[in-house]
Parts: sequence; C-alpha cells; structure tokens
Amino acid sequence: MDDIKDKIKKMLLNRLKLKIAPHDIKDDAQLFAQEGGLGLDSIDALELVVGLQKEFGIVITDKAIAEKVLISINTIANFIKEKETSS
Amino acid sequence: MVDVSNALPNLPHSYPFRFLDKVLELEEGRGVGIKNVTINEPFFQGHFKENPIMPGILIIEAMAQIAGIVLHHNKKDKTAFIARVKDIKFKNPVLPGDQLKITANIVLSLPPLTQFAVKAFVEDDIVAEGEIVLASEG
Repeated sequence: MDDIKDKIKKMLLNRLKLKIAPHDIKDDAQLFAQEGGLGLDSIDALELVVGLQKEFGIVITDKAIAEKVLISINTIANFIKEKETSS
Repeated sequence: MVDVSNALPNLPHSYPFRFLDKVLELEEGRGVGIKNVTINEPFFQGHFKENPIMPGILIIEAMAQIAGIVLHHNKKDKTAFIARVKDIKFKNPVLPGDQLKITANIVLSLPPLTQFAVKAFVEDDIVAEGEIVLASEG
C-alpha cells in the first residue's frame, strides 16, 4: 500500500510541478485545502485524472467520482486498490 | 462524422478574431480545421514589419477555436474559455501564404474542464503542438 502511495505522490509532484519532496506530503493531507493542504485547484484535478489514467490505468469520467477520489493520497490509494481487486 | 457545414457558423468568435476559415473534419472527440494565412493579415503589419511571422499566441488561439468547436459542435449558444495552455512548442515559423491545418483531440473530459491534444501543420510539417484545457459554460 505504501508503494502505491509513493507512486501517487511522485506522479502528483511530477505532473503538477510542485517543488516539494514526496515525504513532505502527508497521506491524509487535503489536496485542495489552502491551509494545511496542498492548495490544488480544479485544473490540477484534471491533470491528476489524466495522470491516474496514463500511469495507473484508472479511468474517471464522472465529476462526482473525481470529487470522492481526489481528497487525499489515502483516498486515491484506496480507489486504486478497489479497482485492482475488482478487476 | 458530423456535418461540418454548420460547425463554423456556431463558433462564437467573429471578425476580427476568427482564426479558422473552414472545418474539415468533426466527430465525437476530435476535429480538424483550416486557417489560411495571407499577407493581408492585420498582425503582419507589426509582427514583424520587415519579417512577417504569424504570432505564436494566435496559433494557440486557432487551436483553441477548433477545440471549442469539437466541444460544442451541436450547442450553438455555448462559449468555452481557455483554462490552461500546456507545453506548447513552436517548431517552425508560420508565414504569409501558409495554410495551417489544426487538429484537436480530446484527451480527457471532466466537466466543466476538457483537456485537448492540439497540433498545427503546414503541409505535412508540424509547426506547433501541445495541450489546451477549455472550461465550458453551463
């Protein structure tokens, strides 16, 4: 599970060009919160969905699902795990 | 394949800010448009007086216009706005007399945002390519 989380963090940092290290992101940090979170915006969210599709084979086309999945590193990792076990 | 004859009139842009002359192909998720670049383009008066080159920013505008048609080809009264211009490379200058062929393909859509892969060709050479994100109204 930690491997997946590291991979998600690296994907996020690469795609969003954030100048922090993977270990600076807490697993439960709110991605879109300005205070105590990463302060991402909706355009970053689209980039993350593209990244999840290209690097993890996870397809999200529904905004409601994106809002449930893109909360923290933990929620993304859980979603990937669910998809892996159901396929 | 969609009937392309009605595509261009649906473009909300009008003179002097229409950077497409014709839609060649239009289907779900992708489209191809043409912009004929003539020596009479107003921007060539200043860009540059002795050395006319189509401004890259206007090539991006043409890319966004065909992307907007792909997004809204059957929704006449909708407007889309540029939300992001990503990694656009300009590989060759576009000169008076060139015909720009521009392709826009949807990479991913998560309303209201849609990401496109865009390319511009003169004859068979790529002159510019990259990605554009449009935000659509409504």
